[in-house]
Amino acid sequence: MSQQSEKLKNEEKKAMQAIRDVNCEISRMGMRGDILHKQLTAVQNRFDQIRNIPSETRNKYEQTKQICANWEDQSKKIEREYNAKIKKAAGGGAAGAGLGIGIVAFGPTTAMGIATTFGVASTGTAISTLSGAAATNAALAWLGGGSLAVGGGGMVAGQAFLALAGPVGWSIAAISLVSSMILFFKAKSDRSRLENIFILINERDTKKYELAIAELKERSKRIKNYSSFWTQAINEIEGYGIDYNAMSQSQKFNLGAYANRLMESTQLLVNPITGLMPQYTVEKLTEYRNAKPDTFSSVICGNTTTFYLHEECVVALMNLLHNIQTDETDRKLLAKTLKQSKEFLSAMRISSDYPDLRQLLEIANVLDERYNTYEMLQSLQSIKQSTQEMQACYEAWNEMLQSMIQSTQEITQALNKMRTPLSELAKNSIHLQ
Amino acid sequence: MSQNVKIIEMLFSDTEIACSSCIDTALSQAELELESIDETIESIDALRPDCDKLDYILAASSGAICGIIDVFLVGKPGESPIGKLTDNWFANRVKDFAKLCGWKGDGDLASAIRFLENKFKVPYDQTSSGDIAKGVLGLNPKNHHFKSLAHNPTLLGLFFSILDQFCNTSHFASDGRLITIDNANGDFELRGNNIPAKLICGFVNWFGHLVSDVSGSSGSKGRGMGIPSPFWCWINDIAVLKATFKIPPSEFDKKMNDMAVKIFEEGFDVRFQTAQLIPVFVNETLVRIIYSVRRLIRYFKDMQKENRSFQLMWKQCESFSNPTVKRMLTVAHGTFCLIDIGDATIRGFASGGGTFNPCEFFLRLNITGVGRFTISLYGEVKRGFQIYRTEKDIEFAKKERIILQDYVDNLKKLSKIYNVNLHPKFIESLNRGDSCGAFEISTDMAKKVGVPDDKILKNKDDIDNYFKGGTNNVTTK
Repeated sequence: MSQQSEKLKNEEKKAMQAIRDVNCEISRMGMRGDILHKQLTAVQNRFDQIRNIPSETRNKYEQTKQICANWEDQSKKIEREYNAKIKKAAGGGAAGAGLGIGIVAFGPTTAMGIATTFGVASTGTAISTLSGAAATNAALAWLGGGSLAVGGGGMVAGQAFLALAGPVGWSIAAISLVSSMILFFKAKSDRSRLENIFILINERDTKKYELAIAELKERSKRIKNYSSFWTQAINEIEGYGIDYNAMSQSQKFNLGAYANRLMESTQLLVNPITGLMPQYTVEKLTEYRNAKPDTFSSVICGNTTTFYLHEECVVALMNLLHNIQTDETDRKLLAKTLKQSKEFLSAMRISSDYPDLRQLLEIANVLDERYNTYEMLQSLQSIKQSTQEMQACYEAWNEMLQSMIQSTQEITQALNKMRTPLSELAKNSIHLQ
Repeated sequence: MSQNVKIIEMLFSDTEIACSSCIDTALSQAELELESIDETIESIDALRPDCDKLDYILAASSGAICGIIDVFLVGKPGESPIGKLTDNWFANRVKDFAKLCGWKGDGDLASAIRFLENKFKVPYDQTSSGDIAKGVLGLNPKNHHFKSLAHNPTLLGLFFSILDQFCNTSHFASDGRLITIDNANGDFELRGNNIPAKLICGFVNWFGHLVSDVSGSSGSKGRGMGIPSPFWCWINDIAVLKATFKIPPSEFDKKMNDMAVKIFEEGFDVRFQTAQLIPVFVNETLVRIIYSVRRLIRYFKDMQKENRSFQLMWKQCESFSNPTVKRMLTVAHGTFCLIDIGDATIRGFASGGGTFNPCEFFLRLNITGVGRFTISLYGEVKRGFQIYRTEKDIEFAKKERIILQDYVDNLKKLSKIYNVNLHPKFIESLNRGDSCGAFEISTDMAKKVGVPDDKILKNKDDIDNYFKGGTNNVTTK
């Protein structure tokens, strides 16, 4: 085996290990999250008492709380069904764990429990809006990815899967299947090029997992810290009583602070994990198309029909090639390799004799570059805006200071004018005495 | 209140609040990886020369000037002004060495040489050893220093000198053959009570005798023969090696041997070799000075006064071990060799009356210059291969850098979101009873984590609305 092939195998192993580590961290976070979730529920209940929510509404909340409790069971049921689908798609049980499948093991329970509980208590959002498919959607959105579940009904097949190609699920397991196709290329230079591409893809994905692991570890740590913080905070809040008007200013501000901390802690549980979010989705691409219609048209010009027929495939390829520098020869070889992978073709709903795969790769590559430039410009514009705002603030402060200085000078002048008559008055009064 | 403060103090001590977060740890590690990749990418700069047009022009000019010096001032033995200078220099060094050894003469070279010849007697100093030696070896006073292996100023020469002193023999190389004469000198006795002492005495005798012969012998008329150039002694080394491995000498060996003897007889000895060294040395030094001066001017022009330092200046201007100065030296020595070889070839044809005279060619050829150019060329080829191999690695490293940079940027974004200092500050504010301060920090924390803006309580009115109004939405102003 050449040095490069050795390196490719090592990178694939690293990526697999990273997935396992992500799974572990999600499990840990899920367990700690459950504890924090219960504490936050208790705090919210206390706030509800202070806020003096009327009894009818309280009854409604009592009902929804009951639904919540049922929901815990419901979410576990959904999780079981979900995992069954995944195992079926992967074609085996034990093999799934190493392929990123376990990644959703604890997500749905925690995510749905938090999101739905607070959604009901604070905004009154009906829990019925979260049906089975939508609930799993929420879990997927929270995790920022999906898994290898393909086929079957509902949201798992098709769009969700394609839009989420890489870093989670498909990217690793299927990438290693695709990368094994490299051996069919006879020319050493072709093999070498492809190996380099797949090494880079694996490195990128490993880094995304490492990013996720760092974030998950930080969150887990915080959740654990916040749990002990909230244990004591609950006691303090209870000490304030439930009559808001009878509380001191300091207690009111403390309550406000705890309310913000409550929102912050909730967000900590429900925020999606950055490293597991796909870089591109169909929605993001649509947003870019609306923002820059001319640029977009120039990229897909001549291939408009192809693009719209296979928009999801283009998004998947954009995710595949994100941050991977390739030239025309690389993309030509990659198209040949992908065409030989049945898993890829079936996931993309493309036949093996589809002629325009290379075209789609080229479009994906250019769109990736253009979108990066667009993002950079946007962040520069926001920096410019912030600078302008800061400048405006500075100018306002400056004006205020100038007017203060002027007023002080006027006051000093007035006082100086008054000094002579006052001193004369003082003299006269002494004289009179 | 004091009870609440106590509770909060307890909770502060119980929480695991580490100063650096997991994200910060990952960030510092990633930045180290990024530095390492940057070093890999920059490593190719250490191999690639950075010469501009003027560097090349100046290097070529230096080579040309020194080439002209070599053609006109070094030339060939007997017609060399610089050769005369080196002859005088060596003569003075012989006198100095003789004085060091106890000579109390009046400055006469012959007297100094005689003194040294008597002081450092050796058994292999026969100019001829009878008719047999003359007939078999073709030995005569003009060539005996070349043919006698112990007179060669090389390691092999030292070996044979000590061997001859120990065994009272004489070894010669002639016509590509190795010839040994036993009982070379019946009067010779190597001093020393033990082997190490004898070895030391043998070495001293060898060195002292070489010094006595370097400016000719005491009876020489004119400049004398001197000792052979170490660069031409390799012909004798080949003869010895072949003899050792019982390989018969070829015609080419014999011809080369004759050529070497001939040019030695024409006066190409260590002194002339030293004269040839001078233009090569001048070329080398001139190029390095040109490099340093140009970089020094650039340094003072580009660097602000407050940022200057000796270390930085030295790093930019030092003319050793960098590919730019090595490229300049290759160009300079190449130009030198072009002029020298061109001149030697033309004169080789001219002196041969139309046919090529190899003796004339080799007399004029600056072998030191050719050797130095070969070393430069070897370095260029080696660097070329290294650049070719490294370029591929660098290309790949640049692609890896993009991925790593993205990872670092994302970690930095996360680091801002998960600001590790805010929670302890919040606790501290509560401890101090600074409710307003704690409230402000809580607003900041909620914003950072991405709580929707309408859900964040930003001021007292928002708090009142939230707790009195019974809704989660804050009033926007």
